[in-house]
Amino acid sequence: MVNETDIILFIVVGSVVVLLLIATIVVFTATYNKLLFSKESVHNLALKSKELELLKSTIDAQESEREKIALNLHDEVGPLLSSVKFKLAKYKRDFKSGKLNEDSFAEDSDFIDLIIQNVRGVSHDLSSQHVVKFGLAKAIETFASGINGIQCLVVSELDEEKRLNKTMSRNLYCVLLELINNSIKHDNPSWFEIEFFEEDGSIKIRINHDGVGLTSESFESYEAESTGLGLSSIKTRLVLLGGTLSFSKINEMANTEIVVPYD
Amino acid sequence: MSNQVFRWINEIGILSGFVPFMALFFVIKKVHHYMWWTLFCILLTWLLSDCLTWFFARKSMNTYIIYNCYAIISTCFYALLFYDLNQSRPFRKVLLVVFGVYVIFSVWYISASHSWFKPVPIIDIFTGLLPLILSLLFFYELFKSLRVPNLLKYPYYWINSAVMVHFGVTFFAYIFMEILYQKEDLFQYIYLIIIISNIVYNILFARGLWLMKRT
Repeated sequence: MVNETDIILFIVVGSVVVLLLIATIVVFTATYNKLLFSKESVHNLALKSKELELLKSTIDAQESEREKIALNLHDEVGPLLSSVKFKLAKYKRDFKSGKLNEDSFAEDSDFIDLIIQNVRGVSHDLSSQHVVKFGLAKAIETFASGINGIQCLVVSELDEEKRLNKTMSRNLYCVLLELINNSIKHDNPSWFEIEFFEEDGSIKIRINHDGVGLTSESFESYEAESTGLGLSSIKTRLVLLGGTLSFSKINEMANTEIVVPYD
Repeated sequence: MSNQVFRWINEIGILSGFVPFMALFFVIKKVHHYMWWTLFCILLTWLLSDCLTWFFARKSMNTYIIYNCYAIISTCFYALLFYDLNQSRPFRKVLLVVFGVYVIFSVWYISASHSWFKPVPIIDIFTGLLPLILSLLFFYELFKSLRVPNLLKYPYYWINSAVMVHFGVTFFAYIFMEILYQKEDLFQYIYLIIIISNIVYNILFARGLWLMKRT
């Protein structure tokens, strides 16, 4: 027969083992949840700071657009309209003295065209509605045709109605404008070739030119050093679209590629 | 404790084995077929060994051969379960080697000592220890990666807990087995603890399987 002490000892040891096992699982679960919570907190904080950075960049980009518009109005449209005012005063004087004739208005039509062109430029900066109306490729083609002294070819195989929504079109238009303007300013190209096409579930836009060009590394370093808002505006817009931007140089031809997934 | 009560608890323990087995059929399309068959084999060997042991024990026949075969086969299925759960290549290699050695050693040892119809404490200890270590390693891997957002809704957390509780208890019981075989009255108590751990195992396993329905 088993004595009572043996049974008690066995029950005590057995209970301790079972409790230890259950305690292991409970402690594991509690510690796991605690660690997960702290990991999530750090992750959320990082996400929030990234969102704030994005918001700041967006506000900065908007501010930059406003400054650009103000500068256009002040430096270009303003003086032209002042000239019109002076001319009108001159015409008034000439009219009184009987000197006003048809030849006096000869240059005025071109002058007014210049003002219209400037106002249109400002209007384009204010709203990219024409992108939505005519399509991204067409809008870029229109923009490129206005660049003096640089040949530009736009090729599109993109079904824009299916693949591009308004937000994508507007943001891509602004990104392309900024990239083209930067290239004209820094790379000194004599021609541009812009291709729009679809590949692997993404929209790809490739800009080729014969200028100096950039590499992805040099772009990163320019972006880090730059105090201007153009580069950060490009990055912000691409982040919003979930897209990527890469630079390369093959056989003396500079290549910039934008890849944006559908939706 | 009267024999009648002991028998009832034993039968409840055996019947509880049907719960996870049935739950498994509800998740047939929710689990990868390899994992489903592994779980099926674990639960089938579990249920089959319990039912056969119960059936032959009622006829007062020696059932140790059923238990010894079950111990080796089921341990291999647990190895397969953890092989599938852990994606680390070195871990998988070690697992295959360890369980290969375990199977070869067990078969050789039981045959060499002509113990197919006898209890073999050393094999029993390994049978409890190996799945226990694997379940602890699985918890450690979960802990290290923190890859599961809600542990209580993760099916394999429950299945692993079932394995840990059951094999923890049986490992403890097997350590004392050598002494207990000599004291038949006390053996009944330890067997009772194993039956209760069987019931807990079946409930936790079924809970894990049931959660797979939502995945």
